[in-house]
Amino acid sequence: MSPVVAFKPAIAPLGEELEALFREHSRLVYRTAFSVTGSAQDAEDVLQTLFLQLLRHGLPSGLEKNPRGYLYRAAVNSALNSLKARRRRTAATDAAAREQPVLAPAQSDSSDPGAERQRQLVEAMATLKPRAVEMLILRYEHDYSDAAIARLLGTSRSVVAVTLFRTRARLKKLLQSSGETP
Amino acid sequence: MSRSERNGDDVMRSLPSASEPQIDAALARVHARLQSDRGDGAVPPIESPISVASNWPLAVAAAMVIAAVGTAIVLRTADTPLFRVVEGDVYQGDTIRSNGGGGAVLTLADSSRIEMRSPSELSLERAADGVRIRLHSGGIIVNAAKQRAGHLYVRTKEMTVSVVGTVFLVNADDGGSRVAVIEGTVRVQQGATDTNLLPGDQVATRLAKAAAPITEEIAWSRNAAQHRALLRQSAATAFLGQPAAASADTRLTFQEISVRPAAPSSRGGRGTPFGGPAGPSCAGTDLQVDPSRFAVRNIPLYGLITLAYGKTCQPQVQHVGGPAWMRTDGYDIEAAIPPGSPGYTTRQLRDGMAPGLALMLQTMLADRFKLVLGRDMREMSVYHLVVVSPGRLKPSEDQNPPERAPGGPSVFTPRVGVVGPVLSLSSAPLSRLTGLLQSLADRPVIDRTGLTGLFDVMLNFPDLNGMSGVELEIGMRDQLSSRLEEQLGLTLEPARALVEVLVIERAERPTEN
Repeated sequence: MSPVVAFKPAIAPLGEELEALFREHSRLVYRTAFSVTGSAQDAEDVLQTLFLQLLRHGLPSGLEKNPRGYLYRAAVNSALNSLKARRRRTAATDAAAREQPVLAPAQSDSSDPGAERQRQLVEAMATLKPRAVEMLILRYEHDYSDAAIARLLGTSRSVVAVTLFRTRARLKKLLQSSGETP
Repeated sequence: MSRSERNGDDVMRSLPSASEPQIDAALARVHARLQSDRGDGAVPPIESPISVASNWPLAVAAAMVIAAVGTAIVLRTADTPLFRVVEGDVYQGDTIRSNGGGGAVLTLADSSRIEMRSPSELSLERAADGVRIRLHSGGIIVNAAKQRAGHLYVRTKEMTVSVVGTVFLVNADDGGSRVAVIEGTVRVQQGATDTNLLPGDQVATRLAKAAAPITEEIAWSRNAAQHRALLRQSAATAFLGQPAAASADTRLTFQEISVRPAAPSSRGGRGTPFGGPAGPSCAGTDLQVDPSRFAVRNIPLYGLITLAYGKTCQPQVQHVGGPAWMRTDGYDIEAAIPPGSPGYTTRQLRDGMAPGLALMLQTMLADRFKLVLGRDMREMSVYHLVVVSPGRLKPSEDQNPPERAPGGPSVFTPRVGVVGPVLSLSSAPLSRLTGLLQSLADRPVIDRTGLTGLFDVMLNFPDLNGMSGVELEIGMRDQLSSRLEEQLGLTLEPARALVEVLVIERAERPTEN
């Protein structure tokens, strides 16, 4: 005899596949976006935009093969775009402010060395290639080994090691040139 | 790791990182918005058959309540189940599948609770001394009730887990199986090998299965926050069970101590094995231990901490904080050991097997360097050193070697007829090899070989002949696992584990003698 037992859902899921993707990878996407942008609001926007696209346009073909890698790369790219857009907005605001008398002192975190260092690091990351940022965040935010990074991004461990080494050196240089001594 | 790389790591410590509550809240908000974007608040119920075959005639419906729940994200405010068994019975051997958007929670008659990720598939059967859960695919978190007599088992196609009361996670799919312990102790049987796991430990049957941290693996659970808290608490308790440092009443002290800055001529040390920047070696030079005397030259403070607290020379992961000079300033130490103290050798001290002497060093550090440190458990990437080809690592013929002359064993020794860098140890315990691998691999290496005794080790990197500096370092790190496997029958499996780190809260340059 094969008994019949049924589950009856009370809340609509997003769709089986999307729900599973959200459950398994949303944390990775959010944490990644937060580390790249340094902003909770931007990170939330990245996460929402990414899954909204999947919800509205369906799951792309490249996602099936390596969903974690796909979503991770999408998160980094989206976060970098968000970061660059924010820099453009800030630049435009600064230009507008220069044309008008300043009525109030600008808010700055420069009194907090930790926050200032973090801001400079985020700024510096915006100038890096997406591939380098992908590896950097996997190593330092998600604590992946070189081998694990290589597996997720579909490259070799030596490429990861060399890219990370060069990227760190570049970051150090960028931070030094912006007055930071690492 | 070279100095420039260390600097790079320092830079990356400023990387913004979201807190767990912040992430949970953001995920819940986004999930809710995505649901509302679907624009179909009234979704018709989905009937999902969960039973495919009945292998056992004995019904256990009375022994089990099934309540399937949604993810932690949508279910935080209420315990009302989103799913119920609405019709029929569940039989032993029936396959239970969680699918759709939510997971499922099964409660067994003994109150053990099995939370199923979605999609997952399992069946229940009777074992000789308890109940066996067969996990066919997916992931479960088992909160096993105390078993009065017998065991609760979880079996995947590759391993069997047995428990008497604990919380643990099991994943199984085509890529292999993985077990991670949140609380208590579990025994994992994999072929002929039995392994006991403590909180924070995990084992996997494939390299890829060990890549994600436990905290991420349990993120799907509706009780993820509690599990995370439990994990931290359990791991910390497990650590606190170790012998603590000396209290004021029982402190062991040296009789006389001389602490002097190292002479300028001896500063600079030998540099790194890779020809990197020179500085005092973490291990110091000329370490001498006899029953009445401890002496070492040109050792930095973090090297002394390493000896006193049984750590390896890997400050970037095992020591956190502290002033920069504790790694750059070398000191000459001489101390008289009180008569009647246990006698140790240099080798025992380096191998962390000289507890009395280590306690005297701890007292000296507190008194002369005003060292204040705390301990913390941090989940980090580690390697498990495991055997893949038994018999290739040869036990040393001499299992009771005499104490070595000062200077210790050589690490990079040119051998006649051997091309390329060689890493060699003779009559050494596995702990020495793991320490060495750790310094190369740049993360903690945990010995999971189960091998005891002393071994002769020679690891050759012929492809790296002529390389030096960072190039050699990267090359060795890249080839480490493959060379270990082909030459010693060992390999390094990536894993995540809670590792104890020493947090340097305060340290001062030593007072005058």
